[in-house]
Amino acid sequence: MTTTTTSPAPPHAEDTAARATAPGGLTWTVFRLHRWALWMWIAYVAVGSGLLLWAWGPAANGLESVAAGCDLGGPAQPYCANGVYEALSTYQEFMRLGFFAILLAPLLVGAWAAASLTARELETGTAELAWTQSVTPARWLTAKLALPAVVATAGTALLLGLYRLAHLEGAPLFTEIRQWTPSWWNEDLFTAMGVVVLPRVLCAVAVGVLLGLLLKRTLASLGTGLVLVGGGIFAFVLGRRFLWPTEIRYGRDTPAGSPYTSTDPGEWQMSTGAVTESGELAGQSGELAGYGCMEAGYGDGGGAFDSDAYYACLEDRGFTDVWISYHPESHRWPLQLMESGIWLVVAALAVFVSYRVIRHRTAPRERAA
Amino acid sequence: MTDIAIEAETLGRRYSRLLPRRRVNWALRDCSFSLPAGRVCAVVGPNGAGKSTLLSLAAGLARPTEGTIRVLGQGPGDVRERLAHVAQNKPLHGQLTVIDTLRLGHALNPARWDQATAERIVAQGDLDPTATVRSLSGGQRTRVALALALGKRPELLLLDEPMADLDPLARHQLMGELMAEAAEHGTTVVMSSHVIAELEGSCDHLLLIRRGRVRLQGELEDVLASHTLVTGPADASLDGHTVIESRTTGRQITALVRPAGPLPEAHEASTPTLEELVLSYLREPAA
Repeated sequence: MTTTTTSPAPPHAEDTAARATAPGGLTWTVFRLHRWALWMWIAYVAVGSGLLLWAWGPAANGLESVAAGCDLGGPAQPYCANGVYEALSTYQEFMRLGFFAILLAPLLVGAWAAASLTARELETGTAELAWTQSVTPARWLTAKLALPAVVATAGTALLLGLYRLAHLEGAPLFTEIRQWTPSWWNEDLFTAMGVVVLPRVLCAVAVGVLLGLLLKRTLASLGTGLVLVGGGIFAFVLGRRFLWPTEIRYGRDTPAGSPYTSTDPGEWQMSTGAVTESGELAGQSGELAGYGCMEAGYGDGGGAFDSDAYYACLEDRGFTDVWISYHPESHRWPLQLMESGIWLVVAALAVFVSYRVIRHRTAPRERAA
Repeated sequence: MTDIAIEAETLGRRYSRLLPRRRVNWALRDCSFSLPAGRVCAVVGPNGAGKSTLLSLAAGLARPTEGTIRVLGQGPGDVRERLAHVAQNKPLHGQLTVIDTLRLGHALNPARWDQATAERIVAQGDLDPTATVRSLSGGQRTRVALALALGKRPELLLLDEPMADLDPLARHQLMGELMAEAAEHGTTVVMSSHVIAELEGSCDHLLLIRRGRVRLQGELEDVLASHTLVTGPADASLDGHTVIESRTTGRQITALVRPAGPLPEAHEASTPTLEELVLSYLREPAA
């Protein structure tokens, strides 16, 4: 190797010249160090986008043209129905895979952030290498948080947008063919047709960075990050219903039919029970009584529902009415925003603690900048 | 502005653990010293003496538990631009090429970066600049780490066991280049080591640490001149002189002393070498 004579930025060149040739500072550094991860993320988003684009374009169009050749309302035509069924399940399969791409994004981002962003740098000592250059540890942390957050959010937002397009394209046909509308609270629609994944991704980056700072070990941080982000998602799947107060409807207020009949497919039913004579809402015992009296309501012949007989039966058992609690479709956005808010609060806390940790560990700037 | 590179007052650093142990773990305790600027200072001591901790504190990578440390007249957090630190394990990003490692130095030090110097250091070693750092040998890695540090044109260069994993030839060559760079730009070098051969002939200031405390400091010449290695009959008295270490062989005694006046005539006196001096202080029984 011979010495290069074309080296840029001579030592005492004008500062402006040196700055001009400086290759992007921390931003360049973060992108260069995590170049491999960036390519992997681009590939992941590309595959997810490809699936959703296929659902939006060829799959939805195929479904449309097959369905157009059939009289969906008319008597069953076996060959025609088969074709429609196949086209529909193709479309659904692509949508399902696209949904998984969206659902798994925060887990992947969290695992990577926990392992790679700070933990590995602290384990190998390269973090300290960065802190003894001309950047403060706080600025280093800012770059480590902000750039991955932007890239991860952008990729996830693209997937969400494509899912929305593909869903809106196929949903009306789905309803027409199946005579049934998928419920808004189903995991796929709630996640992929909402916004909760974006705060999940942000939280995954923030928590991953904090874990790396605290544990300073790649594998430990990776494992903990996966458990925390995965556990968080799982907790919301189970407990999301409690994030907004439910509404209650009483049996005597329902016009006709059985008291539990809900004519609105947009109602996410929670629990049922009966009202005691003192006006309390009884849970399990009331529910049993309510079911037990169904027989009295429908009588032997199983004809029309006789509400008088039903309520007489209930009163025999010490109850005055039945109730049902549910989330109407109007709760979709309050639930989305509550969940998003919790993820964002956790993310903000993680960011705050990360800055505290790094300030506490390294020498402070005493002089005002 | 100031001719003091590093000044410490009752500096201490304790390593905290999540669960407190019975023995409190002070890596450094009650250290007061000042190292002059523009010199090559050796920080000497056995393994675990607190050398790395001291250099980390000076580099602003850790906060003192007690006491203060001033670097180039300011707090370590304010002089990140002006100092360079090469840690003992030579941390570098394994996935980067040598060229990209230098580019990283440029990106993170836009106002100071001296590409020519960094490239010269790299070019003097026989290594392929397009190779990834991961594929380099220990010596080549040290060279790249030094190129990254020197490319920053630091006023203060903190080196933690810089030559520990080099063969004698590479050590000699790299040390020569390092000293030439430092001399050319008037860089202050503070270098820790337990290999005394590495320091002989290149250092002009000595800071000896043992068990987290400063045992000896000063200009190397003064330190050597103030100590005498004496050999004489074992029964002759060395009272009045500070005996650092003594060894008796038969009826002969060999001792390193800090004489307080003229030595007994029965003794044969000589100036100790740096190695003899350092070894005596390290062997000295704990106070």
